[in-house]
Amino acid sequence: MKMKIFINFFALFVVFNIYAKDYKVDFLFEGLKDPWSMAIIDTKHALLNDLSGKMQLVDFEAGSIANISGIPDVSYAAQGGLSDIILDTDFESTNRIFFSYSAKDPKQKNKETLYVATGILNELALEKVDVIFIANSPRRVPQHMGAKLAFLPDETLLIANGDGFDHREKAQFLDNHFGKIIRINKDGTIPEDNPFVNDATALSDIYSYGHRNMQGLLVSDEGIVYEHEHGPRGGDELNIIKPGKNYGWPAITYGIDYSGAKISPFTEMDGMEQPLKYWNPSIAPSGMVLYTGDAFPAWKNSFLISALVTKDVKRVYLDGNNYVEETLFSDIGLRIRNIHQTADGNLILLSDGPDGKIILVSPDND
Amino acid sequence: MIRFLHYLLAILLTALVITILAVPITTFSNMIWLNSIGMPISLSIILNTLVSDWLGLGIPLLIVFFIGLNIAMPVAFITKRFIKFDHKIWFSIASSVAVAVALVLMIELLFKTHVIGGTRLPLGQVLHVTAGYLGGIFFCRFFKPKTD
Repeated sequence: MKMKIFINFFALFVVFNIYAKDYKVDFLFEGLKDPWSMAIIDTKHALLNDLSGKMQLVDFEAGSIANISGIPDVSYAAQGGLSDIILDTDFESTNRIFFSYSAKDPKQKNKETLYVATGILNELALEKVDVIFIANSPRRVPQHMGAKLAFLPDETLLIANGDGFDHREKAQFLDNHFGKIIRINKDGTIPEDNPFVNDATALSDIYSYGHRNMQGLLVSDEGIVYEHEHGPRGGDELNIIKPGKNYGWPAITYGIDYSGAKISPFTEMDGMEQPLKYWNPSIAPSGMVLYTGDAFPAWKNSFLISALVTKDVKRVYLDGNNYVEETLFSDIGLRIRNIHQTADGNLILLSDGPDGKIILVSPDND
Repeated sequence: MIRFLHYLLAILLTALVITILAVPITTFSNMIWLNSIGMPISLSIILNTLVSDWLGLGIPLLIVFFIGLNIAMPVAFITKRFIKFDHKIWFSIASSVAVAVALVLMIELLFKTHVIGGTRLPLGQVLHVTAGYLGGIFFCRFFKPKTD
């Protein structure tokens, strides 16, 4: 009898420890309209882009959020609005930021396209706002904007511009910006070593093509560019981006159309890149960090990919030659719009709006 | 009662006919585009994709067209007394309008995007409406609505 009781208690102890969380979740801010992206300034401050067109300064210590003035008008509709925000590589000395947004196409006023602008942050005002890129991708509604930004080690800027949903075939052609990753200098000029600068039929700012709706874009310390994109029904992808490469959409895909139709019977083809990993069914990846902090040592060098459909974060890491996956934070139960790493290695999750939340995930040391 | 069941069966079969005709528009528009960029499209790939699309795209389309026809055909029955020309043409027009309205509503209600790949180009839209018209002809032959 004593032995039985001991075994039962031992089993309970084992089960409890397997499922015990080693992190804690704090809801820092709630009731946000449509939070989309964040740029961490330091341990106390961050900039928050709300898709509705508000850029805000978040003060973690004071627990306050303040609006920043001087933001251009954006087209807040469908998936469009004020999108990504990143700090200049020398932000500490310049106070300069870069941000993306959807707005009226300058040539076709009844259509929307992607803009990238830069500005100088002066307390709660954005000054000297300068549009440095307007995508040649007019679309009736701002769908599949991509709109992610990242700096390469040479300080050129990568811009992800999605396929616009209705224009997916254009992702295979180089005379437009649909479904492309674009590379420009900080002042909007085009780097001379871009892959298609000598191709008269191509836009010379294109870096890679054949993409769908890119929602994650980062550059590792080694200079490797990682990107993830939404597939249609199935076929979300995690890719390594290389200059001049074709990532296949929609000629090859692991997904099918939302309608149930096949988009393409092909999943691979010569001259088209394969993903590091794909998801079927879709998780709707919405943001990504390559974790480098010390707060969660076990997650170091893992991709932490936020997901809208599965309402969790996927930890993707290399195990031998395969990328394997672990699900995190499903207990939060919210569509996660984006994920960021703080200066002290904790994680910030943005839940999808409306009633968006800023959630801090930190080690549970209790 | 039997006449009503006959009517329901006619609507269902009409929706099926329209679906069978409409699905290949998406399949072939995809195949033609893939072929145009040099993808190796063979007859077996086309047939496999067509069967897959009839099963995948066909079921939701069948439901949408069935609902649309259940609104359009009663309206056609009510209004046919005001129509001077052949009532069979009137039912065919009603069927094609049902398809057109269904396609427009799919765009407007589903994020203002063309969820059905075959409707992105005007030619595809015309072919879908034509499939609706042919479905209406089938409806008249199968159900034989009383014409004045």
